[in-house]
Amino acid sequence: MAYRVVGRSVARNDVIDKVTGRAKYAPDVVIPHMLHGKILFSPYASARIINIDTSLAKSLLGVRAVITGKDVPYTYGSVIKDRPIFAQDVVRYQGEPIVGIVADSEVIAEEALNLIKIEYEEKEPILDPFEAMKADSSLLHADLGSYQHNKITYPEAETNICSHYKLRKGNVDDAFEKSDYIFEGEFSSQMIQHAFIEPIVAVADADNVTKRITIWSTACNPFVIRKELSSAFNIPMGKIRMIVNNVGGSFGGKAYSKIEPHVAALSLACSAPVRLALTREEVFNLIVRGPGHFKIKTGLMKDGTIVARKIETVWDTGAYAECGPVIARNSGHTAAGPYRIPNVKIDAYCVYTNKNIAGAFRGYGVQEATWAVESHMDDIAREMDIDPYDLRKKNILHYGDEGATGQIVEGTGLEQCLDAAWEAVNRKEIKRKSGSKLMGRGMACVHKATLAPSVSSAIIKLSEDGTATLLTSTTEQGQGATTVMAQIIAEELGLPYEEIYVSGTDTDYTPYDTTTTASRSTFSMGNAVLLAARDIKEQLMIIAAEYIGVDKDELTFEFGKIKVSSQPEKSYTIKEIVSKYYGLNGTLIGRGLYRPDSVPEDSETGQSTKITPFWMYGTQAAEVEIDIETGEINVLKLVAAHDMGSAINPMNCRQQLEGAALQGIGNTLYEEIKLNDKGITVNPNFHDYKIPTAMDSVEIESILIESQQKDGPYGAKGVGEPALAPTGPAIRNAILDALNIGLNHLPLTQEKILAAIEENKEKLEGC
Amino acid sequence: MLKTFEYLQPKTLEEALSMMKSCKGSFRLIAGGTDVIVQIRSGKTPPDYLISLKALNKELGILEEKEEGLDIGALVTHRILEKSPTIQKEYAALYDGVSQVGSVQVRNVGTIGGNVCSSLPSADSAAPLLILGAKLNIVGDREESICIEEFFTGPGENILKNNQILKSIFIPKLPKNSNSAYEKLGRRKAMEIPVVGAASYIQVDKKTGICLDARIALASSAPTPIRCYKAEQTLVGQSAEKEIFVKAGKLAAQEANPRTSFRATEEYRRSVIPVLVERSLSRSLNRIKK
Amino acid sequence: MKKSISLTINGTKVDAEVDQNITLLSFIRDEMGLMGTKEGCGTGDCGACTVIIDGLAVKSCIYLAVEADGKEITTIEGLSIDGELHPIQQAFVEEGAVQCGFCIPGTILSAKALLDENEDPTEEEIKKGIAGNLCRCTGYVRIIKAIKKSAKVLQKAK
Ligand SMILES: Cc1cc2nc3c(=O)[nH]c(=O)nc-3n(C[C@H](O)[C@H](O)[C@H](O)COP(=O)(O)OP(=O)(O)OC[C@H]3O[C@@H](n4cnc5c(N)ncnc54)[C@H](O)[C@@H]3O)c2cc1C
Ligand code: FES
Ligand code: FES
Repeated sequence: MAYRVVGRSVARNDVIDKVTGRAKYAPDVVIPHMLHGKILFSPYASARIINIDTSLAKSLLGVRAVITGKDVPYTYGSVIKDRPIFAQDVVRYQGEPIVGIVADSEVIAEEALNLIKIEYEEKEPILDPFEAMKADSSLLHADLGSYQHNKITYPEAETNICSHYKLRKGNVDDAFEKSDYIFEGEFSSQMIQHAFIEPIVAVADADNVTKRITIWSTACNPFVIRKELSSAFNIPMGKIRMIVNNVGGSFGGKAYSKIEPHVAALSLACSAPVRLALTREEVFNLIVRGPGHFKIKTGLMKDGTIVARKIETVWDTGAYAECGPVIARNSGHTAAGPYRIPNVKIDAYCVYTNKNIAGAFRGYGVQEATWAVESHMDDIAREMDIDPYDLRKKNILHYGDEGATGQIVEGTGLEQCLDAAWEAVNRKEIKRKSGSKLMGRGMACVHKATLAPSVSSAIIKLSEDGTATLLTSTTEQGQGATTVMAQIIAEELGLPYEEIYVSGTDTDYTPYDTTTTASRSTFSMGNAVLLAARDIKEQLMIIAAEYIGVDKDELTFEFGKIKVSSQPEKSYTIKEIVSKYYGLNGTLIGRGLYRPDSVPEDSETGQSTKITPFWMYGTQAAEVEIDIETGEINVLKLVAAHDMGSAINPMNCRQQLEGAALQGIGNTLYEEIKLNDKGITVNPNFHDYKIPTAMDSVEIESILIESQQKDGPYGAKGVGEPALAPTGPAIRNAILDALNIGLNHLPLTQEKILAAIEENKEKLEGC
Repeated sequence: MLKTFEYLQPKTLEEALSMMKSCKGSFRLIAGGTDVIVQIRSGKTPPDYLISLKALNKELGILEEKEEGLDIGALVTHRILEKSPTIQKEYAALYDGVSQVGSVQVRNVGTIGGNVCSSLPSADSAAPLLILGAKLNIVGDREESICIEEFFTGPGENILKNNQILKSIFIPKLPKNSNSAYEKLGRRKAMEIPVVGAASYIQVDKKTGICLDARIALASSAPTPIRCYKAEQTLVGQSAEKEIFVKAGKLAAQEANPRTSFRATEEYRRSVIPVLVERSLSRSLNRIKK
Repeated sequence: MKKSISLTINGTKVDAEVDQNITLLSFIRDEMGLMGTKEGCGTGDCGACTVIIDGLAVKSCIYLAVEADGKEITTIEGLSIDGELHPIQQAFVEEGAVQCGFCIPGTILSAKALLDENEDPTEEEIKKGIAGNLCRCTGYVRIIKAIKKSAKVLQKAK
């Protein structure tokens, strides 16, 4: 069926505000008589607090409140409730909040910070997750066994393992016995940062008598945060109001509570509006993507059929769980790769260390797991002398196959992505050598699940002039969600796209949405919006029947027009019906609630017939050139073929693929947060933490595969996260192709590449 | 908001010098401020006074081509140098260096004087100035001219006294059949501090192809930007071609004293110095040929 | 201690008393209420705070407000006149160059400064011209296209 708005690259509905500078972000929120907060962060990664003396700070002119852990002895955390708002005696990472200050200005707040005296007893930090896992390691959280946690977290009390996720399918030991070949590999991914350009900022206006709290923030999941605050402060949810307008990039880094508990505490302490804005350095210390370690073992038959795969992953989650256990688990869904493997065993350990707190980064561990498994695939192909494409083609999940989690594959998108990407990168002959440069090509596939269970709800208000406003709590972070939602409404109701307005999130007024994460919005919120539009349509038909004076069954709805079967020459516009019905003013309200199907996993085997409402697929291929004298690497071309079900807005989809590709290149080649041996970050700024500039941008070919997700709105599903995952291993495999050298530990810096070249001179001979 | 300081803006060089002398409390000179403001912001205790050189454009902002060479006022920005046809043509290594400082916005404001006076081992103008034989014109109690080789004393340190200002930089005109180049290796392609920078200057006999004169300098390869005299000497009297350039590169690496930082290890810097030196020399030679 | 400065912002003359230790960025946002200029790092590394001073793109977070005395400043708010988008803004809209948008005002101003002095830049010159404006969302692909396109439009309009 041909659509009129869906499938078209209409301009985003937020774009005019963004090019004129009118778009409001949390850092732009100004409230009259707003005060300014500052936090004193721990300079040590591990310490005991002996004494805090705030008396001098309190007496400084212009200081309104000084609070410590004693004043707000609450903990929060929606995955594991393990985190104090301000440290209670123990410091577990460098950057842990110790004291909060409110003052008339930021300068006074900062001066006051310098007047605080804290006596610490510094301790040796635990920085190695493998050490932390040992039975005799000292414990970061002695009370882990008694902490509240969600259902998909599996803590091991009296250890530093805050979750141990298991996936068991078939019998890997038997299958390894019978395998013709067994290959093993070890891989690791480094600590990186999201590096969204908008820093983390929140403004709270709270009242200490009524306990009413309003927060404007850069948060992506306002309802998650509302719940965490409600539980931490023991205040009913309805009293907490979270407002989020445009978010200046998140990539998962702004997903869970960041400084909202702190700004709420500060505002409550002085019953006045308080702004808390983190510096870039503070942002770097607050949230990172943690390091991951992977051991993979694969059994194959002579013909290249994979029969067994065993994976052990260790996730270094830092001092508090944040969403580390979810990362360990969700990456487990992906870790075996998008292949048909009858016997799979996965153990994923999420481990506390005295490091920066690890959060989700565009894919909840899927990027890292894909790095390991797809690198391993090329190593196997090389060892077995099979073309890496053929090895994948042979084993890839097809329609009707059962994946590692026990779910049957429904679409055919993956194979289409594989073929399209490989074809595109091979279109031209490759020159394998030129001067000191060697060239190569590589590829990698990804599959990813979304979040389940989850709920999305939407409200559409149809005004008497026939324009519509959508109330939704899906936060706009740059992904283009508000545009896609408007397109869905415009299509379903036959209204002009330009006349659909989409709200920002305000938990007082916009209805519930679980999160804006996991690439779930187009599918889940899209479905809710579709239902709300249909609800409007249903009501329109009822009032139209009444207004026209015919039976409802006689009416049909055709792209914005209501037609009567007995009067084929006549049609009525929505505006006509609504304005006639209401007279001068009034609004029709449509409601939509969507709760996709899913089946909870078995906690011992991870098996479920429907772990996720849909799977996302993609393949990327890279062509690289390496200067063997300096180790410099250039990505000459990157092809990204991804299955998005259907592209409601093709331009938006391409934006996701292009943006992810360059992010992936930075993540792979040079980005790394470095800690010294005391656990202190040495490069917490954009000067020393490098992300790609325009000069580093590369040619990207995006290919949209549309396999039609059967229960997706207009056949659509998600695309944002999986777009990042295959970039790294595709580049790595291209290096393998060029140099015959496999690099297993991220990032692949020019220095590492040169060292590998010097170590493996003989391997280069044939290149 | 930055921590408090008082901002002073002298109108003449003389006024600036006397302000520096009579200043009660700590002070720092500020030119473009691209280093100074970042440092103040990053929490280091600010000075009591910032003495701005911005109003001294008349005295410190000249860019003048003379018979014997080029006079560059300390206040001339990287951007002005980058766009100067003279620099592009005659002093190519300096063009290579200043056109790669930070980004356009930084080059629009950051000055060559500030770059030299910050005296970082990684300064992108330093190695080019070293091989171009630059002289620094310093004013204080008196005016003096020194070779740039004598200027740097350590990372972020130089011979300037508390009452001295760098007024201008003089670069002698290059002889016939000579040219220069600067190679910068970073982790990304822009907005980057060099992991290693290598500048070179050579003069050849057009007929024989013999190298008559050579200078090599390195950035981010020692506690200060350095000249590599031994490497230079191997070149003189030899036929200017890749083989000898490679040899010079290796010698330069021996003269260097790089350190390990989170940006790169000592070993890596040592292994790429020869490559960059060779490439820089080859570029200089190619430029002569053109 | 305060100092008086007088400058022009987006064509309007402004006289102000400013603290000596505030940056131009903080003057523009906090005192002038022009929130389109963004702060991403405060250390000169991201370019979100880019404004044009006397025709040159500058990072306003590492520029003192007192030094803006006598200068002519353009912020993103000064680009669209009489309800019409500037051709660069228009091209950003058409080419899909915008995602989260946080880097966009700064990038557009860098593009404007570039096109003002080089009306027909090569792709390499465009990349160099905006290398100081970090964008984490777009991969720059469409930003570069948009600048190319607006160069054509601006040339035609001449
Ligand atoms: C984002 C960013 C990227 C950068 N990238 C690079 C890069 O790639 N390569 C590079 O080399 N540098 C880089 N820099 C550093 C800086 O921009 C340069 O060093 C610049 O040239 C400094 O000049 P300025 O006029 O801004 O110096 P200022 O900050 O004003 O001063 C620097 C120092 O020199 C002193 N000083 C200045 N002028 C004089 C004078 N005439 N006499 C005596 N003392 C003086 C000051 O007291 C101060 O100590 C970068 C900076 C930033 C913020
Ligand atoms: S805020 Fe000025 S460069 Fe980042
Ligand atoms: S659009 Fe988000 S940082 Fe550029």
